[in-house]
Amino acid sequence: MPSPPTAGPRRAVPAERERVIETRGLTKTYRGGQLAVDGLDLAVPRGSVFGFLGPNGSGKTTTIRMLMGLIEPTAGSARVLGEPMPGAGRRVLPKVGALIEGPALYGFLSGRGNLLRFDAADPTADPRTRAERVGQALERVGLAAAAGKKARAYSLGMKQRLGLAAALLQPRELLVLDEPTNGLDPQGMREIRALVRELAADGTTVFLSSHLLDEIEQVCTHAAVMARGRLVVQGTVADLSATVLGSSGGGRLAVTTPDTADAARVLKEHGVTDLDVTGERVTGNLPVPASAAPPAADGPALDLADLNAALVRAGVRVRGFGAARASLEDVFVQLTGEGFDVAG
Amino acid sequence: MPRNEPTEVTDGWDGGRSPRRRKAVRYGVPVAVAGVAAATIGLVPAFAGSGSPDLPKISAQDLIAKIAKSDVQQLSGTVRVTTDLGLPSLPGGGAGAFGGAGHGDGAKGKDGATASPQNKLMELASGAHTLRVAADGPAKQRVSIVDEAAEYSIIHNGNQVWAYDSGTNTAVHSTAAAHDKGARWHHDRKDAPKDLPKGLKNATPQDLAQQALKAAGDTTSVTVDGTARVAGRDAYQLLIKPKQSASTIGSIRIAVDAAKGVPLKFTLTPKSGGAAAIDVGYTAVDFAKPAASSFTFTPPKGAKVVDGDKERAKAARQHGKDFKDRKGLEDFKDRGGLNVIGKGWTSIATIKGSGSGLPTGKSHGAGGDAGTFLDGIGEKATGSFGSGRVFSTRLVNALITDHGTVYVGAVDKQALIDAANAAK
Amino acid sequence: MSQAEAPESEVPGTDSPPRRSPRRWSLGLLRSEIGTTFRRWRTLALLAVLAGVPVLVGIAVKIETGHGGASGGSGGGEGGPAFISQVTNNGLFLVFTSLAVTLPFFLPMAIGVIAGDSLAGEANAGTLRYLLVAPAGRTRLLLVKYATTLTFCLVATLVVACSALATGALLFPLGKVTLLSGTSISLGEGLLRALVIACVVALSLTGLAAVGLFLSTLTTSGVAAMATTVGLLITVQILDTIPQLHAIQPYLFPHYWLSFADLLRDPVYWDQLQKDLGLQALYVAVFGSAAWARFTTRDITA
Repeated sequence: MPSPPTAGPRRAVPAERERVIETRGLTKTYRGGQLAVDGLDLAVPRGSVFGFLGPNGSGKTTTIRMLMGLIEPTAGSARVLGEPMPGAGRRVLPKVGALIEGPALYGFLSGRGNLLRFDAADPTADPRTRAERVGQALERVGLAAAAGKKARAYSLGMKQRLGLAAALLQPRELLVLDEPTNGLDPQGMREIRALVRELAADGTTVFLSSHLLDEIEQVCTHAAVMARGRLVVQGTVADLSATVLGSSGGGRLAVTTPDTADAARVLKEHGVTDLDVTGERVTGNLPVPASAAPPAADGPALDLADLNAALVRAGVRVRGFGAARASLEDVFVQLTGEGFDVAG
Repeated sequence: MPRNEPTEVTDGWDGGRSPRRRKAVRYGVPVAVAGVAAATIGLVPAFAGSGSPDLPKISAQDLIAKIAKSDVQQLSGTVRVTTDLGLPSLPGGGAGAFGGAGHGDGAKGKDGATASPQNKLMELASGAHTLRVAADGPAKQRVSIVDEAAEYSIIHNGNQVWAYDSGTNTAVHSTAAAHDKGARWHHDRKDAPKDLPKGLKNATPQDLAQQALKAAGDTTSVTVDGTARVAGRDAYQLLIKPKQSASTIGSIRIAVDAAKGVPLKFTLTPKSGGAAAIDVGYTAVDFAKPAASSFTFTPPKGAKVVDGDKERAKAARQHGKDFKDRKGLEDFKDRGGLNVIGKGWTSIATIKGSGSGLPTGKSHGAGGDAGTFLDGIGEKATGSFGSGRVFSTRLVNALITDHGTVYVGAVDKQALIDAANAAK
Repeated sequence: MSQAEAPESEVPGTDSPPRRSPRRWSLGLLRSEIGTTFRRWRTLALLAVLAGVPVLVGIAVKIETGHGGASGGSGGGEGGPAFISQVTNNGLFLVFTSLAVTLPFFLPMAIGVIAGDSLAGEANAGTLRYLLVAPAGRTRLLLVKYATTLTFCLVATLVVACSALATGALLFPLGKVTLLSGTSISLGEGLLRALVIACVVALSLTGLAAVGLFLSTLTTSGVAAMATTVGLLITVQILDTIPQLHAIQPYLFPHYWLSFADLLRDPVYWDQLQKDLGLQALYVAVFGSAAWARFTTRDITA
């Protein structure tokens, strides 16, 4: 089980200066009346790894572009690192590393040449340390060996890494990563996730957009879910699981046993609800903890080990015993009422 | 960076200008720049034209006397010549042919022909040209026709006349005999075709003004019509209007330098209105003595040198065969074929033809095509004289009867027909 | 998870090394842009084509005069490009001939390619968004792009001039230079005038460069911007030759292009040159500010 996230209910509304990204009523209507983002109120706390979740076409990228000053909002406003965007872009953006909608490179330049060029575009970057910083960034994403190769010869994964390296040319306060593991093999994904964790441990706030639920679940402390241009929910990952799936408790218990009737009886006595017997399998909802807080905060209402012991004491022969924790996918399906891969 | 204006940074959550307004303001910049430029282009010449300097009143007589008295011997400047005679625009020397001087394309390819002053001056008969002139007394003059990436210069110094054509890198040398006759400004004109449309054979405003005033008599109203600024100098405007209604000339306007009495600008407007048919004026003028080097010419290394005197002699031998030679009209005159009917502005030149005239559309064979072509540009006219065709330009009309007699003048068609009828 | 305690201890920016003030103007981007542009294979190919034109013209003139006899050859120059009749006498005139030959299309087409691709090409590749979040700054990036295009104008013109000078010096004699007015100046002064002419030609192309830059801000397809710029150039060049349109022709950007020849008159005739440079300045002002208005308010969606 991942350790509990930092922000509990006591800090549900962090102080404004603690918000790295904050938007109010952020709206973007493209020419032709297509509403891409609709009244978005987003709050990303400092130090968090913030998962930005939504199917393709749900407005994630438009939101990120507005935060980065690439797109002018139709209405509403956005603040990044406490300053308004796009107005303060010149001061804010040097402290922000970004990977937006996949990497884009100069194919005729080497990997190193690409990074040198992007670094030269930053007026605050010191040209004296440029070569050194480029070398470090390449090292960090594991591209040092291929740095001299023309970027057009790179594989998609290498391009992704180079894009990430561009975001890491300077120490950043905020990293905005749009689908950072896109196109990577499982090994590459693991490396990138490890890198994100490492950066977060250094105190960098990471704003990570993804359509991969397990990715968000694995690395993020906070998450927001978008669907069809609207923000559906935001909060800590644990809160999302707890509050959204509150009606179905902490998860679903599954017991495999030939003695289904006894098992159902014992489980019912221990407060498990909505029991269902199918063949040799008994499933039911675990009881809801007294408070909405995560189990770690107040202690579990029901210890699964005790429950198992009780079953055994009652003479139930247990072949299999386990609890399925509510996943973000469950959250998402519950919130949007649709499958995840449906394009908005 | 305008995108990061400090005012925007201090804006609160909703204090920023709306993006749409900001966009409109930014797009306003190029629109404003273009607008200011258009206004400047459109209005400055208008202001310059209406900017009439405050000069003491002067009568027309006094002004003409001032021109006559003017004794400017030294000047240099740039002359802009714009002619819009309404000639059909034909390639090569075609326009010139209609103007009455028929050096055709055939003459052009010949050795040295492009460098001869006659051909070059013919080019001034249509379109816009820039001339640079310099003069230091009657013996030293220089005229350069400024072409695109080429230049044609005539340098007169004493009895030496050089013409240099940069396009072919050819220099024509002739020795001027006692042509000058004490006249001012009579440099290259002795070589100019005598049959150029009136006013064109001398390309400076001074010469044109002389021509116009010569024609002035009791058939003309001459008035002083305000003042103007020409080439940065204050000038009186002399307005000359033919009284005879048959004339195609609407008015002639001559801007005369208030201080020096030198005509600076000559504008001839046809009666039919529209743009000036002939507009010749200084765009820059300087009455200081030009550098002596302006009037010296040494043929550059590698340039081809043609003896112009010999060329002329050769051409004279040839003219009998060449009907359309530049001296053709003079020959007619010598033979008594050329008559001038009427006087003043409505004079009509008549050339008696003995042949059968132009091929008509009805005639057979090869003439048929030519007739059809002529029908396209000429207009049929009939009268008691018989029938013929009228060829019109904005200024000059010509009637060619089927008998081959030609009536030409700066008069309207009816006047030509009347003249033909009267001659009958 | 390790980041559990991080937010409490994190104070923003404490571990960042000292940065340079963002206000300080940096030429790093310009240097990078010029380096990137001139390292591209496409740019080098354009320059190679431009360098080849004077060589071809020089060889053609050499062959022509070789066949046409020693003295009579110059008379056949009628109708050829400007100054071509002088080339056999003085190799320096190959510079002027080559500029007159390349100015109507070759040079502006190369400028059109570079200017049209400047922003649209970046947008097409997606690198534009990374430059902007770097942050390059929109106005700064626009200025850098324009400055690079102007640099290319100058380099391209000098490539033509130098190639022509080298070819001319190899194939033809050098010596005193005969001006259009028939007067002669020393070779040194001739070279100086050639340099001034090259600069004037480069300046004559600034208007087109601004038009190309503006077109480049309108689209995210580099090829479309290039094609539009070159198409516009051809259209305007054709309009400039239609006599019925003489009223608008003085306001077409190529109208006074050949006025560089006025520098070879004695004395120099400034009127057309002033008009040319004034017209270019007007185009730069109008289309430069239009490009700025468009680029600084545009949504970058590519």
